[in-house]
Amino acid sequence: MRIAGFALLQLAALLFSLLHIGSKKRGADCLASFCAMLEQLGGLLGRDAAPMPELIGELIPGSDGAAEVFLRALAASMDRLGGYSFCALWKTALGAAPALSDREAAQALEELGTVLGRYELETQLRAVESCRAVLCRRLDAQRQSLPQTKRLTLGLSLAAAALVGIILI
Amino acid sequence: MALSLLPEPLAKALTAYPDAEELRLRRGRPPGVVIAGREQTVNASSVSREALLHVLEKATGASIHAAAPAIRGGYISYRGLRIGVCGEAVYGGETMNGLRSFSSLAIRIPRGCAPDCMTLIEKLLRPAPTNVLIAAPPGVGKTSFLRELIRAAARSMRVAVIDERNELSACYTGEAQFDLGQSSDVLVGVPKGRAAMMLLRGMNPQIIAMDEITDEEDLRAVEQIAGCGVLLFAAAHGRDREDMLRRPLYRKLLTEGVFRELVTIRCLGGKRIYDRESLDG
Repeated sequence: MRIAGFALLQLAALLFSLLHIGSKKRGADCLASFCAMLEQLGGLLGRDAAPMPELIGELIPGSDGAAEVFLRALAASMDRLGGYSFCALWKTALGAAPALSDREAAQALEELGTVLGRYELETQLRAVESCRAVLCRRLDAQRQSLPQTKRLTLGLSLAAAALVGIILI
Repeated sequence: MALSLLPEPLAKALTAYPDAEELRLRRGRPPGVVIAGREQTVNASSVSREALLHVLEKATGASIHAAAPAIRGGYISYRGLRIGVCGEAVYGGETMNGLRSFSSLAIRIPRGCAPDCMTLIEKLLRPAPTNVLIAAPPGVGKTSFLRELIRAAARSMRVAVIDERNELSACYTGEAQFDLGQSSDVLVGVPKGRAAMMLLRGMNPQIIAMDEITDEEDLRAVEQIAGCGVLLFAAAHGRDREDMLRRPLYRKLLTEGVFRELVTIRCLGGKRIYDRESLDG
């Protein structure tokens, strides 16, 4: 009975750490999808300088994950442009997509919406590039820290479960 | 339509001016309205940078970058409104790419023509239409007159419209916002020379109408159309025949004998006066 209880505690700790690691991984995937979207956006904007609703439509087929959800929400809201500012629609669409766990990246992405479509091309391209740089930097940091986070979370939760097991059992 | 472009407080202040021909927005100053050619200052708070950006964002569908070619030309069109733009030029090497730090906007509101204008149009089209040149200083109503002339002619003839600046038709997603008549076909955004060739080859027009003639290339388009036996309606900047003859481009236009009728428009005490002059002989 004691061994089974101990094993159950260890299993719960393992499950918790796997869930935590999974959420970290999903956060990194989310960032990666936005990084790819921004790279594509910068390219299309610089090459075609097409109107924003058209650009968003062109970005959807090449995007995936959180960025795709965001772009689809933004594209669906484009018929409300005029009644609402582009910046407000951008912010709402960001809210519809899986949230970025990284606060700095989320803020950079939100700020990009205040520049897109409002200023001349060079300013917009600079804003896209600077936002992409922030997101890529945060993505690199998350990817580098992921193996360490994995080990630490797993080690700590298993050790904590063992300690609780020893005390209780 | 013009008020729908403005931020709410500004739009509210300007609703008291239904006769406005133009709305003038200058950064850091109260807005102005032009009525019967005279500008009045509106009792409202100063126009902010945000307000100017709000108007431009709405007018360009959040795509100022896509409107850069139009901005380089001095104005953008939005559903029949002409929005003149001032700001700081942005250069890429030797080429002007567009404007930034917008400082002024002039929103011109199109007006319909007066009854005496319609009488003149009927006279120009009866018994048979001929080549008509419309001359007037900016903001007096050349485009409105040309639009009415096209609409009246398109009741019985095929009129192809070269709308290089999208002012005559104000096409939006393929649909003309101004009625140009039953039998009119509109080509938007194509330079006149090229547009003339496209329309002559493809649309079999009986009349070609074009907006303002401003340079040698436009003049060549006029000659091209006249040489093909198609009737022509066009507009040009100028007060009257004498004024136009003083300028080499228009002197050439008038002396070549392409146009048979000259219509001049002037504003007198807030009222538009239409004069017709035969250019024959």
